[in-house]
Amino acid sequence: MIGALLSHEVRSTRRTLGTTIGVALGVGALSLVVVALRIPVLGELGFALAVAVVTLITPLVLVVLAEHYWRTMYGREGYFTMTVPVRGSTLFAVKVLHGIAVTVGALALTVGGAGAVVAVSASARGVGVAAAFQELSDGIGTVGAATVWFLAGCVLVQSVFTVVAGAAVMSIGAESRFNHLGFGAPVLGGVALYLVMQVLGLAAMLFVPFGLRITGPDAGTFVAQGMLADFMQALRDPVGQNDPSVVGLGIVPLAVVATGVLAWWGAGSVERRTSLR
Amino acid sequence: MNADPPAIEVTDLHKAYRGRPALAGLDLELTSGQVIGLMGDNGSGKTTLLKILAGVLADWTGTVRVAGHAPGPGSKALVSFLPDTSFLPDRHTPADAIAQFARFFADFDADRAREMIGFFNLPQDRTLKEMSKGMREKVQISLAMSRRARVYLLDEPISGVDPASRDVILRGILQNFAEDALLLVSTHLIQDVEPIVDSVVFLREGRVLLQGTADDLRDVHGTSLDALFRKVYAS
Repeated sequence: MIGALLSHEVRSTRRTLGTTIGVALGVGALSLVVVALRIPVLGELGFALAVAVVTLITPLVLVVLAEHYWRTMYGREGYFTMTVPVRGSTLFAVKVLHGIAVTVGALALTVGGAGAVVAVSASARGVGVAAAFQELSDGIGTVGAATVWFLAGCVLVQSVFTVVAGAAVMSIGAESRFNHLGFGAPVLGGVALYLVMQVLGLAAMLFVPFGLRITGPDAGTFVAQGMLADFMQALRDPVGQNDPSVVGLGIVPLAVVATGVLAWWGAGSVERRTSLR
Repeated sequence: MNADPPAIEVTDLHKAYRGRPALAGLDLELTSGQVIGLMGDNGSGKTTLLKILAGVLADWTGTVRVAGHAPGPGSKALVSFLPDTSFLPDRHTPADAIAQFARFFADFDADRAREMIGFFNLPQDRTLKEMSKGMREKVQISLAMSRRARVYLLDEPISGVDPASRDVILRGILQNFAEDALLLVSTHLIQDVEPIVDSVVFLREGRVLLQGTADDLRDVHGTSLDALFRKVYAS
C-alpha cells in the first residue's frame, strides 16, 4: 500500500509541479539567452531574472507541495485520502517522504541553475567559463571541502525540517480544536513555530558545544564549543573589541531534533485527531 | 443463533464542536442486511455520526464499532463512505476515478463501477469539472457502491439532484447492494427514500428520537414516514 500511496503522490502532483518547474526553467533559460547575447540593459535584467528564478525554484516547489498536502488531506479530497485503509501515520510518512524527494530534486535544479548562471554570465563578461569555475573551486579550497560538505548537509537538514514542519503544522492546525479557523490555523501555527525556533536557535547557538572557529590559525575547523564564552565576554566588556571567535552551530542538531519531534507530533495528529470539516 | 456482531454498534457517543454538542449520548445498534434511513432535522447529528463511523472525525467519546472494528484502518477496509461533498479531483474522468479506487480498495469491483457509470448514462470522456452536480454525484455513487463493503454510509446522496435523477440514483444504489451488507443513508428527502428503506432512525439533538422498521412505524402511527417525520419534528 505504501508503494501505491507514493505512486499516487507522484501521479497527483506531477502536473502542477511539472508546470511550475517547466515555466521557471523556461523563464530562466530565456533570461540566460538574453544575458548571453549581451544586449545592453536587457542583459542586466536577464541576469537578475535568472538569479531570481534559480533562487525561487525550491520555495515555489514547497508552496505547491503545501497546497497539495492541505487540499488532499483536509480539503474535499481529504474525504478520499482519509478513507483509504491505512494508518494516519502512514499517510503522513508517505506525504513527507514524497515532499522531501521533490524538494531535494528542486535543490539539485537550483544548484544546476546556479552553475548555468555562473557559466553564462562569465562567458558574457568574457571571463571564460573555465576561469569562473576555477574561481569557485579556489573558493571551496579556501574554506575546505569538509566545510562545504557540512554546509550542503545543513541545507539538506533545513529542507527536511521545512517539509516535516509544514506538514505537521497543517495537520495539527486541522485538528478539531483549531479547524474552525480554516487555513488560518496552520498559518498561526507556522508563525508560532517560527518564533519558538528563533528562541531555541539562539539558545542552541549559545549553549550547544558545537561550533566553527572563524578566527586564528585554526579558522575553519569545527570545535566543541558554542558562543556562550564570546557572549559572556561581550556582556562583561561591552565597549571592548568583542568579535566572536566561534560561530555556534547548535542550530543544526536543533533542526534534527525539532524535525523528529514535529514528525512524531504530525504523524500522531493524523493518526488520532483527524477531523474533516 | 446469529453470532455475527452488529454491523454498527454505538454506545454513549458524545461529540461536540467547540463546546456545542452535536451528539449527546447516542446509542445505536444496527444489523446487516438492511437499508436504513438516517433522518433528522438540520443539526441533528446525521453527518457527524456518519463521519465518525467512517473514521474521518476524531475527538469523540463513547464506544463505536463498525463491522467489528473501532474506526480506523480495519473498519475503513470494510466501510464504503460517500460524503456530502465532491471528493475527487476535478480533472478526473470517470475512468481516472475508477483507476484510483482500484489502486486503494481491495474490495473494489472496477467492472461493476463501469456498469454503473453506463447505467447512469454518464459521459466517459468528460472530466468531473465539466459535469453537472448530479452527474458528479452519480460518478461518486458508482464508485462507493462498487466496493464489496460490509457497511455503506451514504451522506445525503440525492440532495441537490432533480427528482427524476433521484429515482435513477436510488435504483442504481439498490442494484448494487449486497443483501448481507448494511446501507445507512442519511437524508431529509424522506418521501424519495421511503420506498427503499427497511428501517429508519430519527435523530434529534444528537440522540435517537425514534427507531424501528419502516412497516412497524407506518402501522403504529398510521401514516407514511414522510408524514411521521413532519409530525415528529414539528412538535
